[in-house]
Amino acid sequence: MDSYRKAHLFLLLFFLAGFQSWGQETIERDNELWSGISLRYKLNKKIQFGLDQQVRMSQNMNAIRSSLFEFSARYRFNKHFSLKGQYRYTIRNGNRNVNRFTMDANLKWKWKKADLTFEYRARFQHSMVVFTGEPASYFRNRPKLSYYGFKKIEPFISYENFYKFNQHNEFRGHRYLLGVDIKLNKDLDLTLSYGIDQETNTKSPNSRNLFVAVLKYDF
Amino acid sequence: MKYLLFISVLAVFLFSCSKFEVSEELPDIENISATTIATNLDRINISVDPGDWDEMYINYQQDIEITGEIHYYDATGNLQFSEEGTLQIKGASSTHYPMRSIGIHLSQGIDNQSLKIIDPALALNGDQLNTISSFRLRNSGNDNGVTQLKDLAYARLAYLNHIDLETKYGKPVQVFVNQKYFGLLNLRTENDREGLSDLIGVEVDDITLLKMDYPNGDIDFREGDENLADALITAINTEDEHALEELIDIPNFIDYILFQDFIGNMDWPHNNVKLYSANGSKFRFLLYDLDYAADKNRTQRLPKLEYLEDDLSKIYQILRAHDNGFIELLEERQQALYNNLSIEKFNAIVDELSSEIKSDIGFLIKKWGAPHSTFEWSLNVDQLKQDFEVNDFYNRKLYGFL
Repeated sequence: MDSYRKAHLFLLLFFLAGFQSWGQETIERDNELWSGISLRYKLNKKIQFGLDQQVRMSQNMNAIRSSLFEFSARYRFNKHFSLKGQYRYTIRNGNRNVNRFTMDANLKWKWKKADLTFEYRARFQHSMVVFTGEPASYFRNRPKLSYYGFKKIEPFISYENFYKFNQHNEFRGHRYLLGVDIKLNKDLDLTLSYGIDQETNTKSPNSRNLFVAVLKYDF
Repeated sequence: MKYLLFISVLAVFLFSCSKFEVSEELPDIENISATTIATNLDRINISVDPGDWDEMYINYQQDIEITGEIHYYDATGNLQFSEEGTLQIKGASSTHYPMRSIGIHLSQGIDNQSLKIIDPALALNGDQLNTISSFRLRNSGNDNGVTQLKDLAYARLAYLNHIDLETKYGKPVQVFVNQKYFGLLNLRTENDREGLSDLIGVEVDDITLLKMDYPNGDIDFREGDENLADALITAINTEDEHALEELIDIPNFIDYILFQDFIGNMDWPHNNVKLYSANGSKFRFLLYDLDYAADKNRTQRLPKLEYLEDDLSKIYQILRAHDNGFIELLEERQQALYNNLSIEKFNAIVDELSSEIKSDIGFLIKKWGAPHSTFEWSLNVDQLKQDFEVNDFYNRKLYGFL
């Protein structure tokens, strides 16, 4: 079996293992829909700006949980390493709006023989609820594997953990995501994904299913 | 021209570096007694063994209790009562001041209805002030040597405006120890079991008292019915909103947190939290130690209760999350509070208290050197009013009551 086939088999098993473990869960989860648009403008080979808008619905997609706007700037050092800074303003119910700043360090590596891309994102995130002043700082780790062997679609899988500071210094959540990037035309992509957000180390840990649909447009 | 400019700048610089000296004639404190002091305030003389006093006073962190005799005189110097009692240095960080607070337990309660040591007409609904068997001569806590009236002024704001809570009533008095001048202190009712027993007219043994343990933020059992206390602590830990609604007097809890938020008490909610139950009734919260009120602006307490991790904040979070009419009641009472309280009301209280003690500040300056002058004290009083006004403005802005 050549390495190409091995990689595909590995990917398939990875997906199935993930589904099986989620299927065994008996926790009652809320279903959330995250939908939005993402505009990206490439100034040159190194610098890219982004503008995102998303609406997130909870309570089995019956109520709007939040609406967010995000501005980002990415600097690409080389084909493997880039840095990205983001500012997000989230409008939430009850006037509990949130300011959030993040800084990402991204590593990217392509395994050309198998048409696989491995990415790792380390993110430091600090947010503050405007009304209460509640601060929250996280360090997030996200490895991601995607397959670019198809012409129009690019499936991916990722796992992310959330490590909370603010006197806690413990893991507070895990996020599993399985999705696909669909190329609609030269400039337009649609990302569809399904995932699970699982809280941990809290008195009553919440869990939720995520259904994500984001339209991406490149200038 | 260059020289003229240089000399002008130098002159401004020299003036700005100079110290503003105030000279004032201070009263004699050596040849006065509780009966002869020139004051319009009530006076207290504590007769005590000098050796015992020194031991208690020097070792102020050792909870040493001594006995003595308390002689209480009215503003004209007439003796109102003499009673034996036990004395102890009280307070936490404020015990480090040279003039310390003294807790007094009288061997027999005095009849306040006839003596009117604390005017019974001031009592809030449910409070009686019929008998006083314990009180504290308080140095105004961390306001010691600043205005000497801050804590009292904020407590008065609560009880003169009929907020649904228990607090420490009080008034300024001149205090002597063995007829030697000691200081200008605030006589305050106590909020221990004995003080509460007087205040609400129930037996001491029927009172269950809990207090927040500083700095870990846990509400702990202190005295009384341990099972009742455990029920409350369990309800907090298990986030049982129904049990909390059964165990806590919710309107009192709301008024308590709203008032602490209104005055911007920086030494709360991680500290200075006490609650009691009388005869198994719902727990009510006690308002005390307000000397850090309005110390900083734009640091409202109420929004912070949504995420802080002390037990009081947890109670708030649980009641808010399982909103069973809680938020509506909170907003209703907050509106009423902001309609009821005002800068004018607070200033009137401060003006009244400051005019009561203004001519007595000199004794304090002479004895302890703090404040440095009556002029400085007047500036401090003005600052107190200004801090309240600024805090009030930012509160009303945040909550939409401007």
